[in-house]
Amino acid sequence: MAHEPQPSLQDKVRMLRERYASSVGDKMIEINAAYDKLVGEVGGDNQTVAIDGLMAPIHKMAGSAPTFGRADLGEIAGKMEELLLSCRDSQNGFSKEQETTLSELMEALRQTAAIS
Amino acid sequence: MSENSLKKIFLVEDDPDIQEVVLLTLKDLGGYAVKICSSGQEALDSISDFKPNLILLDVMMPEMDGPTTLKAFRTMPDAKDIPVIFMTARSQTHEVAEYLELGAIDVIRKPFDPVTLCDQIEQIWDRYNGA
Repeated sequence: MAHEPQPSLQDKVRMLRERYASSVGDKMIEINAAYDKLVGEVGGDNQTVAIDGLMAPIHKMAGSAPTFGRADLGEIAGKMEELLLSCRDSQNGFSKEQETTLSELMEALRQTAAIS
Repeated sequence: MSENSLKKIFLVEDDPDIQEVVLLTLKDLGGYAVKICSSGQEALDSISDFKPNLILLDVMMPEMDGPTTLKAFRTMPDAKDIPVIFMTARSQTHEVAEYLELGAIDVIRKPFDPVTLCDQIEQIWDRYNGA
């Protein structure tokens, strides 16, 4: 009986990378929703909860995207994570400058995610 | 086979993408038995049954983070002596020093290369065991 050749580890990793690439759109839907929620909460009582809500998917993208060949997404997500951590830990919320930076990073992430 | 053989690895990681690629490389390339937990609490609940040789522990997880989970392991008779490697994207010098201070034997930085992950783990394991 003939056996199908087993895929190598590299083949399997490539398949995982392709699957990750095809899931970026869904991940961006979650990130966009969390970002919109945070924008609505800036300066409000639930700001810290909203920061954590965005930080969770951003942290995952920062850690996993480069492993799956999307270093470009990981780099932007990493910068967003640093900014969110710094705003959360300062307890002072966002300065105007930080708001602008976050908005620019979010736009960069959207554009980069749109490149397949 | 020596008492210090690495056979069973316990992965505590909340990101399903990372879970999948670590599982693939550890099972396919390393031939290890792997148990995955998605949270610190789940890990505390199931480590005694699996009895791993090594724990790979994500640092940032919701509810119970990696350092808190490690501290809890250290209070458990079945888990207190199992070596822990942290896996994290947050690996600046002072952060790595903090993790080692907590009792981790080393830190694997994210992102990692799935193809060389096993080698990395085995080098840390050998160093830990004085090989």
